[in-house]
Amino acid sequence: MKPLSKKARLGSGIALGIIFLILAPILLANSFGYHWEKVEDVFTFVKAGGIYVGSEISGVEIYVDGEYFKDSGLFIRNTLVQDLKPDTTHTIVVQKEGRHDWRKTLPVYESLVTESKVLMLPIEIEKREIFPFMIGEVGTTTPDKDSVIGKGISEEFLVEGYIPTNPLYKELVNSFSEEVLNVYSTSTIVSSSEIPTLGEEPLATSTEEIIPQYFTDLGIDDPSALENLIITSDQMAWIENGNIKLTWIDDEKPPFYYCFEIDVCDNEIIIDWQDEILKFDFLPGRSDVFVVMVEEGVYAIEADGRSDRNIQPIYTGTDLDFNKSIRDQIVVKDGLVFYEMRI
Amino acid sequence: MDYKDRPYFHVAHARDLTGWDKILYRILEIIPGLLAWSTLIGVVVLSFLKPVWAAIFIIIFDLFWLLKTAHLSMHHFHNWRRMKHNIKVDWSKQLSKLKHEDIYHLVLLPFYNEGEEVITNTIDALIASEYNKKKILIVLATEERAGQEAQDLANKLKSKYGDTFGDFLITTHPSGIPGEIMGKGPNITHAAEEARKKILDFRNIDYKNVLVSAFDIDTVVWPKYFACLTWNFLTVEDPQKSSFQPVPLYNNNLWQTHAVSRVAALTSSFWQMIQQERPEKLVTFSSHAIPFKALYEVGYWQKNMVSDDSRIFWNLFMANDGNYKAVPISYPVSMDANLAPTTFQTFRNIFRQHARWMWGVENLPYMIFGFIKNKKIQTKKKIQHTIVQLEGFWSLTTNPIMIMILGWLPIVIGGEAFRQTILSYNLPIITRTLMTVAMTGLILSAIIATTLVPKMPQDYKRRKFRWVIMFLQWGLVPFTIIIFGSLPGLLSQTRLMLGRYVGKFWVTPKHRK
Repeated sequence: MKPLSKKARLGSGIALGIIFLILAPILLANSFGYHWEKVEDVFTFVKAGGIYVGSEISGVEIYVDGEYFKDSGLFIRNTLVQDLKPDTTHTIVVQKEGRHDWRKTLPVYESLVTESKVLMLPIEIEKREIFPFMIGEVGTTTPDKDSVIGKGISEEFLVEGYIPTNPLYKELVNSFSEEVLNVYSTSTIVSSSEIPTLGEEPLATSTEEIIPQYFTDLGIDDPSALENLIITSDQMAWIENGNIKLTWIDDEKPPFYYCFEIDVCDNEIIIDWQDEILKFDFLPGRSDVFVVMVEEGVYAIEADGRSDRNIQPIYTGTDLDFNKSIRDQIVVKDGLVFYEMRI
Repeated sequence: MDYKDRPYFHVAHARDLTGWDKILYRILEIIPGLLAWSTLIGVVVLSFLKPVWAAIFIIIFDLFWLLKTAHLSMHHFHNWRRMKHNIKVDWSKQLSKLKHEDIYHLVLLPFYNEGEEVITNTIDALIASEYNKKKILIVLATEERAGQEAQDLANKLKSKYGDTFGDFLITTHPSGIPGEIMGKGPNITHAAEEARKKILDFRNIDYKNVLVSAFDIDTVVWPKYFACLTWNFLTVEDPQKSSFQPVPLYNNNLWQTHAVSRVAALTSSFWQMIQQERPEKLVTFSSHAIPFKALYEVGYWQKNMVSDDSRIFWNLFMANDGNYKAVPISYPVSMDANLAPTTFQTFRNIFRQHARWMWGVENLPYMIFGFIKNKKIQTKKKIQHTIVQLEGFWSLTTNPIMIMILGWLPIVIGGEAFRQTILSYNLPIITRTLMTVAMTGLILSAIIATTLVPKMPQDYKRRKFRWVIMFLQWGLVPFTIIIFGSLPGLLSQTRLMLGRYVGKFWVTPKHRK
């Protein structure tokens, strides 16, 4: 058997060279957002823009301006929608069975990508009741063998006169309590005004302590007067006039949901609800979505206000309360019952 | 004056020269490392300052790499078919049509302190070869520094196998000779000269009729190796100006060693298979064969440098004014993949072995220096070899890093303005797509590899699972080509650039489970 002939090798080299010469400009043009488009019966090379649809959910269907675009597939979560006409807006709808649709109308710019992130909570959110006593994996409302009669503890924190044994339940009772930090301790009684909310840095209330610069920059002299104040590493939010005020406090450029046009960003977002927002927190794992409690229930709402905000229910009803558990899950308190919401 | 008689013919490094020659040689030593570092740093700087340009470069480079992979895969596949064909050919029958009775094979087996099992495996394979054993002259080349134990083992093996072959000579390379490195080159050079005096001259054998197979101690010949080699020697144009290169398959112990070691070893074998189909780019590597006369005329292998196996080709190429070639015989010899008592030691040995191989970059300045000095070599050949060797060392070192790591760099350090562009979003998509297509070539590698694997030992359990692993292991390639390809390559080129020469041949330990 003969070695590969020079002719065959040269032929392969030339063929691949031609493929290279053809593919290289096509790839580059495509990378820059150019595509062929029929304009008035003539094919023209036009420059387009795109929308990046960030998602934590795979297998979603994406529609652009009412037309099916693609299925993100079993493993791919994020999708780049390309070849969109620039200098106008396009409506993206993302759907998946069993979850709320996500709809957003976003501006598109030439050769640039407009970023977005979907909010698609399950329509039926699985909820798990947190029982006061530990029996088996599920728990029970009946005192177990380890239960002790609560003496010196307020009746409202006892179940059938016993101190609950489920640590998660006790933690939730504590976190929802407005009176004391640790209701099951007779020795440590702390004022609720000193309780930091989860994700919140302790506030400087003493006159000797220094108030962080970002408060001063915003003209806030007394941070402790802010309602439901939550501070993360780069954002700060509180309730003002029944709405959420979200502020970017980092030196870096704010993320996409602060930017109403490309490179035109505000450092402040107001999440305006038609009714009064009673309480809020960030949705676990998301810095751009809030869990808010209003009179009718607990909802998730995105901060991104570039078009109508997507609002999705977590738990509806009245006389509710919610908190984050130590497992960073949303827990809704409905009457005397705690439900951990599996979002 | 013939080129081989010039004072710089056996130069190892710039420090061996003086005056302008030293400056020139030093500049040539700097070039490969400078090229590699300029490329890598250039991509980083470009990604920071001009991310769009960097992205364009990366996309074009990725496409080029994909098509190059396709081109090389074609060579690989063809050589695999040719090698399988050559394994089946009845070379003895082919040889019977030629006058071959006068041809002798001088087999050099250099050893240091390897175990008896390794050496007996090698000798047993020589005995099993389908060739007149009386035409095979064995030289067991020991090292004085290995001590009495090695001498005793050599004597034991001679008494066991001595009568089987045409001759069985034990040579002992003296230690501490000034100007020599501790390594294979000085040992086999000493062995070849001893064999000349004690076998060839003694038996009045014409040097023209002797082919020297310079093996490693773990080189296991396949049954028709000598017949195939002899046939190639007798049929090639100008045989005295040709070296002969078998395919080094690092597969002796594939079932015993680690998946990482298997991939690293077979990747090296595959590269040699590709080179077999590109004879104009082929240079002797590892186990190879050379006509004794040509070897004698250039003073055998250099004793003052590490990568003697490739240097001997360039010695011969320069001495013959460019009229010398390496002939691919597309017939395998088997050697050990790296295996050590622990996984860490195995990985360390792979790295050190590959670093030694990559130190072959020390031949690049020698080659270009020779091209400048030897006016009799055709300019076309000079340009061709310079480009091939420079591109080879450059791509081996930089390409895997550029493809696997730097492809994402403009996005990371290109700044916010770049991150908002469609180009920024498309860069990873295109890179990933092109790489995924390129990686399908790995399926071909995996299939070819399964045909080169020796029989699984009978006592092995979970046999199907082991075969699955043998196939899936190719997913490690993106990591192995960087860790055991690019990094040792970069280390070697950097050392040469800084003039920190490797002064000792690191002998790969041969461990058997």
